[in-house]
Amino acid sequence: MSPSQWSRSVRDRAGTPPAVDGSTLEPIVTTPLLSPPSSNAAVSSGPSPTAHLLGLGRIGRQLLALAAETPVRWIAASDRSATVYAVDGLPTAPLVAFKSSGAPLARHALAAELPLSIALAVTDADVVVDATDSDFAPAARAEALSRTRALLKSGKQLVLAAKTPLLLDVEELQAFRHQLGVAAVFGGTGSAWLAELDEWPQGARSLACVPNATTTEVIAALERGGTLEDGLASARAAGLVEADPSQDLDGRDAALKLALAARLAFGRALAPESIERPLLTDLDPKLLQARRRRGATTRLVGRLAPDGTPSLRYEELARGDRLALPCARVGYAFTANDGTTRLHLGRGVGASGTARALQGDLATFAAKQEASR
Amino acid sequence: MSTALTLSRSARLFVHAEPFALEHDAPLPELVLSYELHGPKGAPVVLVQGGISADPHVAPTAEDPSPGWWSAQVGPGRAIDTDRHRVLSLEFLGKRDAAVVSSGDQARATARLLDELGIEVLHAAVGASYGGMVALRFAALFPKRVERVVAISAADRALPFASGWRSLQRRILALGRDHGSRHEVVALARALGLLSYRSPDELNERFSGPASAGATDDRFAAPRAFAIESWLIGKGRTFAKRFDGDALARLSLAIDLHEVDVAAIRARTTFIAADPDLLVPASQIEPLAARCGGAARFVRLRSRYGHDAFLKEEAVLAPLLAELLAEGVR
Repeated sequence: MSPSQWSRSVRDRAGTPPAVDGSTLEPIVTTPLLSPPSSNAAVSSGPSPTAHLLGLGRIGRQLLALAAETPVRWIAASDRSATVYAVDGLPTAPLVAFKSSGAPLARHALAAELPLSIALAVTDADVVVDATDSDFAPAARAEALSRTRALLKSGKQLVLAAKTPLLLDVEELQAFRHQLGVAAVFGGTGSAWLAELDEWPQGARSLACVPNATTTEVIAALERGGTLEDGLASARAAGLVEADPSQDLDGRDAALKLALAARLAFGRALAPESIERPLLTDLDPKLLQARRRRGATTRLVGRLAPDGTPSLRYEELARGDRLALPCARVGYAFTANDGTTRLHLGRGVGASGTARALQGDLATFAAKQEASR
Repeated sequence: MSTALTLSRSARLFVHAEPFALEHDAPLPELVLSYELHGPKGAPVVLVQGGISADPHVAPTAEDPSPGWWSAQVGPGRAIDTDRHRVLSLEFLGKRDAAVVSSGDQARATARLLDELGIEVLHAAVGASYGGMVALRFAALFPKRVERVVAISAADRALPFASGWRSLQRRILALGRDHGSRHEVVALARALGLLSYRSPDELNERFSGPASAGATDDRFAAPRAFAIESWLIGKGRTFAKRFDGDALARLSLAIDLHEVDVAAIRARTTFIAADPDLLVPASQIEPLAARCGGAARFVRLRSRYGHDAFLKEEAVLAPLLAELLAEGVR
């Protein structure tokens, strides 16, 4: 499809009200538009289904860098500023290089500055991967939820690294759960436990989790006699933490994941804000070191009791405890009425691990689509 | 990107977040083992492992009072006395890991767990069937880390007859996997295995009565149900509810890949052979005592239960195990 064809396609399809979010905004199309088909070896072409990536930050770029191993055809990618589209497949490697330079997509020679809702309607990919930063400001949250709701209602498969979309109403979330890929939201584990829970005849009774890898990294440093800064440096080196680690340190990230797991797994409308959060900076390094000397350790543990009561605490865990996980691992343990526990251990942390988790969800979706043909 | 495992109430967990090299396959991305510990801290540690279908729950615990797979021998006051020993039992690699694993891989994984637990030397490694193979391989690979070995119905390698039996089981499993009848083929493969775990004399005597009336659920079955057929299929179906076919195939292959040079063993080693045993006959085990690098003895256990004697001959085995483990324990 040539740029002019792409423009016509945008206009033609935008002529009918887009189904994405009910918006009736007229698209603002600027030319030149998006990339033409390419014969570049790095182009992800051929295999279906088609995929549209939202967010070209570290995770999004890592995911595109895995294009050769990912069984989807990347036909579109969007950041806050614009969308690039190529029906035969984006040239992923040059795109990753362009975004790695720090430039917004709008400066890309082939970008179209469209409202995202319009771009999504026009590209009409089989699967949308949301790797945008989780922004909980009211306006951003409302926009993300509106977009998510519209995509799911239109039957799209949604693969998520972003957490905001999972703040849909619990009833909606439950209704659409089979259209969601959530491995990456829960450190690589989410899709596996979500699928399994469907098969549990009596359901799970309770949840215990170690949802945040950064705190584990910092605790390990403190146990060794290091400082908070040492721990954060280790976490950064492992790619676990953003430049601003406050969401990890004050428990917001862990509380959010606990709440989202409660919503998905148990259908409980748990608000992240309602969970009391401990501060990592309140931990006494001497206490951590003493625990370590006697063979124990400390982890930030989220729990959801059978009655739905959540808790988030730094707990002492004995050696061999199922939640005494090493660095760069997260865990979600669901316990049944008979006391047996199904533990899901995740390595999908950091940008690279998260991208791999997204890739796993895409592979699962592609396999399902192939099987349904 | 994720690993899932089922844990009993008393199961503990070891996660070594580093790639774990395998003898016959690409490295595992990490080593994940569930295990149980029974008995007082500081007591001599006894590693106990059973056949490929055994799990780490070897005996009841305070947290999990359900029977273990070797409750008859392990527990307070029993042959492997958890008042006097600390018993370690762990799951086999390959139960969850989609990889070709060997007894050497199991041994090295065990060594990693011992490192984590701060256990330098095992008082004993007691293993039956595949667990016995792993015990022998551990003793050969880590001669300074185990003082005595009790290997029951386990030898230095698989014989062709036994491999042939298991090969057919694996082909049955593969057939079911490819044709969408996974559960039923696990039952069938297990039933076939069960036939090899027992002796012909036992089964001939036990199921010698007339076939019972009543149609079976299989189009190839006789109009009257053979008692042994009902027993085998019933046992197989029960097994299929708790065991994954791929795991069964991997661990079955692990047995056939087993190989150990017993001359490398330095521990005092007792080889116990059930006689008869279709899979690991006494004639295969007996010469190993002479070749073993450590002080060794051979014990022939005459049993109508064949390869499964370690599960059935409780009264005969108990005093022998108690005697072997009592050495060096106050």
